Amino acid sequence: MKNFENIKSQWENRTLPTPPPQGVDEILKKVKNLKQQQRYGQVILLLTVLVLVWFFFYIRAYNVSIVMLGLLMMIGALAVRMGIEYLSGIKRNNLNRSGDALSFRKQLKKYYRNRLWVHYLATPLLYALYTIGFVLLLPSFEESLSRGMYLYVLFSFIPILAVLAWVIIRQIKKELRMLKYLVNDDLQTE
Amino acid sequence: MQTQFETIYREHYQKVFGLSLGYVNGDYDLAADLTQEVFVKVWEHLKGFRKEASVSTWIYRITINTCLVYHRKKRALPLTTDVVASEEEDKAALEQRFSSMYACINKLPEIHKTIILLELEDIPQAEIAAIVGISHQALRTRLSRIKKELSKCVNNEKL
Repeated sequence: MKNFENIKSQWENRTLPTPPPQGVDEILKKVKNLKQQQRYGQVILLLTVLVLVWFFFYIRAYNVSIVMLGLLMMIGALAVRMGIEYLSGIKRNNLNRSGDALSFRKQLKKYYRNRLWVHYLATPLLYALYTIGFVLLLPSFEESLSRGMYLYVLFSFIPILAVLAWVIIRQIKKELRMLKYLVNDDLQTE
Repeated sequence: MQTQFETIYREHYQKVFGLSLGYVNGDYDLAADLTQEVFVKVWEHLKGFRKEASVSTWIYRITINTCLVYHRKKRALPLTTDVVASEEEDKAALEQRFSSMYACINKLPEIHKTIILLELEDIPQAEIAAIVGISHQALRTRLSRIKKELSKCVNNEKL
């Protein structure tokens, strides 16, 4: 294999599979599943906010300003986070994949650079708001719940926060890796 | 729309699979997943296809762009051998050669990898230039350099 022509002739000897007979059906099924998954994701997030809103009225939080503030902070943080992720998802899906490779790379880099604002500013801020909101609710929980239930709510919130942080950090790392790869790859190409 | 999609699928499946294979170090399972993902995108974009480019250029653009996003998500596995005992030696030697080709291709920067994979798939140069988004002249210059680099690497020299 001394030169490129040899490589090319070897390359042509690769065995490539023929289209699977059920291939189109499987693709259409996958498209349907993806749409369903998106809808489920949105419904779950929406339900979470609705439950918090329901809780807000159930305990008449509007009568106790500190409880109202705490709940509003938690609901607000979740709602804003939902909104950001939803819009980012739309933006990412709208990247023009049928454009030429260089334009697509530019779009992708711009997308990930914009996401840095979300990762380094919005996310930590929302995370802090969510946690502070919960802390503000603690006195009211202690007052209205039994000791056991109060401790349960208190200590179950810690793993929830930890899991939430882990999921967010994982996502951020993944996106930063992609951005770093694109930037380094550009430098190599130059 | 489904009939049009079925035709596109049948006509372009092997080329898309072949290109995808180059992006995942020759792993057939990953290439099959990737090919499916490409055609999911083709289906999603089909309504918006305005025939400004030929169908094949359009499909290859989607393939390349999907590969760029996809192969960062999943780590490519080393080439695996799945051989029948009687043909074992021949197949092993052939797969070894493919393995070094894939490894060398994957050492190239992304755009160079795209160019060489399209060239290896025998796609006309004018079309490669349109897929990548550079002029035909620029492509020819780059291509000649990439071919040399790839040949060197496959012959056990560093890129």
